[in-house]
Amino acid sequence: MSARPFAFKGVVRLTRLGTGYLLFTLVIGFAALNTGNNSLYIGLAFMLGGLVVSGLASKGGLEHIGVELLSVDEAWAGRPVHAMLRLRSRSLVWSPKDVIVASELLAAPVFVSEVSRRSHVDVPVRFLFERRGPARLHRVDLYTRYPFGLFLKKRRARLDGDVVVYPRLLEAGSVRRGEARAAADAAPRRRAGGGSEIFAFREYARGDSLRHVHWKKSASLGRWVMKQHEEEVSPSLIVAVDPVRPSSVSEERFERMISEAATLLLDAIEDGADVTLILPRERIRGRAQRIRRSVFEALALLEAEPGGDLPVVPRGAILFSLRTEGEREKRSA
Amino acid sequence: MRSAAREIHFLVLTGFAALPLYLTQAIAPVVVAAFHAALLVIGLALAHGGSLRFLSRVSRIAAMAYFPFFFFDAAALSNSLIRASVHLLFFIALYQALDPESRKSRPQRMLVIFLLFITSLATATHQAIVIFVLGFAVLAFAQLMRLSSETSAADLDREPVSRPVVRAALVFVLPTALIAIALFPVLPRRGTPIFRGITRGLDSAATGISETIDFRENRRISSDPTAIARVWMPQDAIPFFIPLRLRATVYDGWEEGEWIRLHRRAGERIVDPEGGTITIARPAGYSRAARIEQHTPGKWRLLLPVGTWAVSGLREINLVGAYGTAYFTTASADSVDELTYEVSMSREIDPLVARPAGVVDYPIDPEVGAMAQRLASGARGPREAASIIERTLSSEFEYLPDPSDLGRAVSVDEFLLETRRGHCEYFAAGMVVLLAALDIPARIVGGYYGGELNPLIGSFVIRERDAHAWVEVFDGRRWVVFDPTPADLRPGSSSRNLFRAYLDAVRDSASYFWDRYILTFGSDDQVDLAMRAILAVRNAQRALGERLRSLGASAAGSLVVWWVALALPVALALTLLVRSRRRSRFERLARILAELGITSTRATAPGELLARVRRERPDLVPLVEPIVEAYLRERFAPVPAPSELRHAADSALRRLAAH
Repeated sequence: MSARPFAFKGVVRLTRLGTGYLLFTLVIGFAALNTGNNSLYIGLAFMLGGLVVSGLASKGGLEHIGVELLSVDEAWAGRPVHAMLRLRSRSLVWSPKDVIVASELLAAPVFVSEVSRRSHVDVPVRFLFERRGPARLHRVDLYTRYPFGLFLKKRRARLDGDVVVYPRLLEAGSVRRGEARAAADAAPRRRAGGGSEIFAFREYARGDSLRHVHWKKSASLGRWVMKQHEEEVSPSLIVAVDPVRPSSVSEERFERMISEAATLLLDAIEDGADVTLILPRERIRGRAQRIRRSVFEALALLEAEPGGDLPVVPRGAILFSLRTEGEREKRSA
Repeated sequence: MRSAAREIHFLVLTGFAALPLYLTQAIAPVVVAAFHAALLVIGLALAHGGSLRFLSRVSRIAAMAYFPFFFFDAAALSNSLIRASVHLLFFIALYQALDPESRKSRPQRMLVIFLLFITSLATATHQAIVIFVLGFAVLAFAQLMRLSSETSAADLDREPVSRPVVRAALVFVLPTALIAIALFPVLPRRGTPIFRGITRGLDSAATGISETIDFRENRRISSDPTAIARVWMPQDAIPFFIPLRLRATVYDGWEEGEWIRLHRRAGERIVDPEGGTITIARPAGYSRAARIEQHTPGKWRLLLPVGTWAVSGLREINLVGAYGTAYFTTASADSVDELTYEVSMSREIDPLVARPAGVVDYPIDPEVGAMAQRLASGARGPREAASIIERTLSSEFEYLPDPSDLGRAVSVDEFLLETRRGHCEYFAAGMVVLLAALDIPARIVGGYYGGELNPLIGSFVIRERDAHAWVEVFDGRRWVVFDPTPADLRPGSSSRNLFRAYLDAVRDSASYFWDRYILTFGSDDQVDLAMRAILAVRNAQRALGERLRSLGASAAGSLVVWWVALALPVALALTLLVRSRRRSRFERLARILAELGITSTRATAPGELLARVRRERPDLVPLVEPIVEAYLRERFAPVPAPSELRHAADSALRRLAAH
């Protein structure tokens, strides 16, 4: 993240311009006091008035701004997430200008030209989450020099938004794609179903629909021959994730394992494959985009466990586990 | 192009800041004009996309040469360090506009502009300065807003948003002006016990009443419209004391060809340390009080209305020449610009101590003596003789409003015997000479006559142009006023239409408030203001007490009402304080957990804290969970948290605190 020249601790900071203004006001004050020249007092009163109005305007302007999280795109750890914030001003008087919205969760501070009084402005922002899991967008900092640039005011606005951050995706080549392909190839391909291609012929059975009669073959053989259609089977992927993290394994490695599983599953989903995610207490199965959210939310929320049974892994499934081979066999047995 | 527009705005503001310097005469107008011309040239060059490279180079060379020039300017050219400093400011402002590096330093340029503004302000005393201040505030606020926008955009490496700022600045000027109006009277003034001034304020013009009258020199009447005194008197007194005559000085001697004051400053000093009533004569007949505000900077002379027999509100006065002229003296040697006092006036007054009055020692020309004898041949006493002479002069002599119409110096004798034309001083001096020829004590009184009634503020305004001379004649007992100048030609006798009179009254009211409450507002006025505020509160208290009593409330009941009235704001303040300090459940949780070794910051979200508790102190999770849940529900849920949850959270907090 770039350096933020505007960021500071506390709620108000005198700017360089403000410091000059204040010092100059003090000098005029001394001159007025010294000479008793009421014209100088007029100038002094105006400068102090400007100072007060500046303080009131910047405080009042920020104080009445509420921030709402309108929408958040799919959030992946380590990738900028597009979102929309709504800044709503409830102030009857002030329309703060040049407001900077900043937060440690934002990929970059955002500049809002104006938040008009009693209206709202929708601001596209980009969040950046470092870790998977639930993230609470609980606050953003609003900064402004409004109106005269004498003070830099800050207000911490509450933001009520929960985001489930999906696991970090890995680079291509760093995941077990070959293994996934092999597993997909090993899976049975042809079976009867509701597709358009003919899979096989069989004798008529009571209750069969006449729509499935193969008239040509029936005529040549002299008996009712029914056609069976081939099921339209998509490539499929079964992934099992074992959440047990032995004490000897680092947290980073565990996270990497989740990331590998997520990357593999995303590839499959993007290819339109059927996927099945097997977790110790959950099995999510379905076709491509329909289960996308469930799969990645489950992975995002998966927490490491100190021990437990190995999930039941069907044939052809890819298992992600950090247990040793021996321990895996012992648990399976 | 946008930067050129921004630069032109800066130039406009710079030029505007120096505008009043044309009128204040603190700086030679030609220098100010040259400064504005240079700004105009730069502005035009920028507007047409011209290059300032050549001028920039010239300014750099000039900057090197300016250092010795500044001392030469201060010592020889303008002969004033202040003027030289203002010239330097002009130069810096131009240099900043020309030099590309300095041009970028906008805060520094704003500082120079503000310095110019203050220079203009410090040397101005006219009401128009308010319009200047408001105009400057609009332009300066607009410029500050632009600067603010530029800086904020630069923070994020963006281009500043271009938006109209003058209208926004106008909106901000109104509250700023209101706050300034509220602050102006309460800002500490010179002469307060905490801050003592070390230099004096600005003085302005003198009254124009001269120390002597010398007809060998050309006399003039000032047309200065400045108000030098205002007199408030009750309605019923107006028919008896109008037209007003304010006595400023008397000329009761003749020495080496000029009319002089015989007694000068040696007189009877009357002191009243309490500032109570000082009696200076004995009243005779109808008597009323009047309040006088006198603005005679640097002068010590009181402008007492004819018939004044007592003065209150002054600690010390000095009576010169048997109530000839009253001087005001202060305990310290400071001059007083503004003086307010009350006088008691009577139709006629007698001196406290009867003293014989002498006849003025004027060398009487035999022809003048004969003229006096002829005029007063049938008179039966000084008053009657004076009346005849007054009537003769006012009816048979020609009044010249402008002394320069005489064309040459004319003596009083010539006035009486030959020209028979002159202004009020000739009429007064002629009458005194004629009375002297009859051995009747008389003197010329220099002062102010008439004045205009301003119905808007209820005062008579006396101006410099109302200066007048008349005569006082001693009738053996008291001094009696006579005025030989024709009544319809005396000051303030010109007629005006109603609209003009109303406009004059409005203008005068503005001028009065400006002089009284802005220019001359000082620490005494602050004390007065505070006293009035205290009195107003006391009166309100008293009125409320009376109202309560009239409603039948007992003394105890009144006391209760008072206590409630006092307790309400205190209770409100305390409630606000407690509410501001009340900690949320989450803050209390964070504090307890910190004591248990799980630290968090203000930025730690409840979920984060709960996760840390899960990791570090799983045993506390059952206690922490309801607290966090209740906090989140209360804070963010659209419906309030159920009471069971809140009670569970409070109970968990108590148990957690006991850990």
